[in-house]
Order: sequence, then structure tokens, then C-alpha cells
Amino acid sequence: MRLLVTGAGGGIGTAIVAAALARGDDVLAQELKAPTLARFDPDAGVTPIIGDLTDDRTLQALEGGARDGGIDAAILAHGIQGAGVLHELSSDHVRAILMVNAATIPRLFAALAPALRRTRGRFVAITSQAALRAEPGYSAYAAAKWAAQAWLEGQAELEGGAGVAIRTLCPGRTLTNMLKGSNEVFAAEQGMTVEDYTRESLDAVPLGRFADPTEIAAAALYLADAGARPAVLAATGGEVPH
Amino acid sequence: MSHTADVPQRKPTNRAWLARLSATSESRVAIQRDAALSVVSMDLRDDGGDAINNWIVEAGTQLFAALRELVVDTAADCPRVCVLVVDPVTDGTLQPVRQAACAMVRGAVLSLGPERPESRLTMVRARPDQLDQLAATLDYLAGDEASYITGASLDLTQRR
Repeated sequence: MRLLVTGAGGGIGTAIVAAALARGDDVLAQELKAPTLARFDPDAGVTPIIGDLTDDRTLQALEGGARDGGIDAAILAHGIQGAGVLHELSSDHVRAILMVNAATIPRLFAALAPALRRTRGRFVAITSQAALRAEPGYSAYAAAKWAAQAWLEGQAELEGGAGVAIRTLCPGRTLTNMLKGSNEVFAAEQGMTVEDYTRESLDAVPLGRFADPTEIAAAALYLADAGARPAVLAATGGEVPH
Repeated sequence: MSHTADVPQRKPTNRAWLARLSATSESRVAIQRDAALSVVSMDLRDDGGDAINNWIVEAGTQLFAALRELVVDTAADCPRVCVLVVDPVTDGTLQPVRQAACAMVRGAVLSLGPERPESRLTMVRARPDQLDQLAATLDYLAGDEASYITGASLDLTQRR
């Protein structure tokens, strides 16, 4: 199988690429900067595309890569951190959150849908448990994720049974640098140490632990495979049942 | 039982802006300031532009700026703000973007309601042909009877 993975150098993206390579897939891997993809040997089946997903040139490069080599599935694993209470959210930060976490998804779909239609492929977007519930202290992030989730569900209706299969993975708190960053923001806002905040946030997860990126990668690859799959899969350790 | 202690009651000013909004989409995001209930309107009628950029990125950025102004940078003890989303609810390729814009507002309002309990934040979704019937909903949200309502989404587009 040939996969396209965005955000391939991030915490979850890296785990997806590694798991895909381990099972013999070829990967067209997008990341913002080259060094984060350096760990993957091109001989192992990774074709890198370096660039910003808010830049049309990157979308064109991905469209060309998908068209020329063909893809069976796209997994969107990119995103930026968006913690912050209302009075601390600058317009620049809000715009960036909405552009990266929401607007890139329909734009990527437009770029990749022709290639995916040729293979009856799958378009898998990793949103968040924040797409499934309100998130005080995270309102701009939640707004972007709710927008992404709604667009995916609306587009899935338009695609119907004969078009691209659109599937969404909603991970909960996953052990990545992004989680570490948002924990630092929340801990500072609440006057707590990061360690104390982390312990407290663990109490919110019924399973009592954060997800490992490899678990989220396995869920993403499950959704990327052909066959009967759910349109939405919540991988939240029970924190946000869906 | 009265719940007016922290919510000064004022009669809403006239809502001529609703008629203007009904007639034309002058601006995608506009603020109507009112001591009883300020309204941030977001217009999702097709103007031929880049819907993803206009309705998600730019309108969302303007929405948060408006909410900061009306909820944070205000002297009001209990600011009441309603975000009115004007959604034509059509079939076609733009509807997923409209659904996304509505969900964006809902995600923001439902998150900010509990984050800002000193305020009252709501969202109303209505079709353009319903704007002249909105006074009852806005009067209700401005009144004492709605003082327990925040972080709430009122979808008026479902026909009965």
C-alpha cells in the first residue's frame, strides 16, 4: 500500500510512518522542515515532501506526488497546539490555529481526491477529542477541531458510497511534544507545576494513562486500510466516549 | 425566584440592523452592541469568494476578536453575547464548509460558556428567511428568564 502522511515528523506522524514502514508500506511523507524527517531512510520507502501546508506550492507538490505515484490512503496527522484562554488568544494565534487545524483539511482533500478516487482510496483525518466536546481553556483549538470534524462529516455525505471514504480519528491525550506544550500552558495558567498538572489531568482519563503514539498510529492505519471501518473512531481512553 | 442579582435588566434597543442583515450581507462578521444583549452576526451566504478562507479562517479570527472585545474588554458585570450565524442551509459543495463554520462557532461558544461563567454566551443559527422572526429569540436571550442560559446553541433552521 502507498500512503501519504502529513505532519510526518510530529509525535503521531512519526509513529504512523514507522508503523507503515514496518508492515511494508511506501510512504509519501510531508513535514514542515526537513530535519524532522531525517530519521527515515529514503531507501526504506519514504519519499519526503518538505513544506508548509498553508502554502499552495506544498499542496501542489503533494497533489503531484499522489497523482504520479498513486496513493491508496492519506492520513492527515499535522496540527498545531492551541491551548489558551480567551483573553490570551491573539488574532494571529487564532488565525494560525484555524488555518492549520481546520482550513488545510478541505484544501488537502481537494488536492488529493482525484488520486484517491482512482484507487477507491481512504482519506483519514486525525482530529482530536476536542472535536467531540467543549474545551474550556482551549476554545480556539476546539473551534478549529469542531470545524474540521463537521467538514469531514459533510464531505463524507457528498462523497456517498462510491466516492472517497472519509474517516476520522479522534485521539485523546497522547504522549507527544504537543501534549507536553499544552500541559505547560495550562499548568502556568493555573499556577501549578507541570508535574502536578500532568497528574491531575491523568485523573480525567478513565484508563489512568495517556495514549502512546504507537497506539494512535495503529488506529490510523486501521482506518487507512480498505474494508468496513467506522466513519469516526474515538481513541480517548474513555475520557470522551463516542 | 428571581435571578436578576448579577444581571441588570435593560430593554433591548431597536433592532433595525436585523432588517439590514436580512436585506443584504454587508459584512461577513458584524457586531451589534446592546447593553442587554450584543449580537455578533456571521453571514454564510455565498458571495463568490473563497469560502474556506472567508467563513473559517477570517470569520473565525474576527469572531474571537469580537468576543474578546465584548466579553473581556468590557466594563459590564455580566456581558451577554449571542453569535448569530446566518446559514442558507443549501445542498451542494459549499454546504460542508457552512457546516464547518457553524460547528466552529458552536465549538467556540460551548467552550467559552464554562470558561467565562461571569458572562452569558449563546449561539443562534438561522436561515436568511428567518431573520425577521428573530426578535422573540433575541428578546428571550436578553431577558431575566434566560439568565441560566450560557454555553448554549439554539438551532432555528429545523423546520417543524
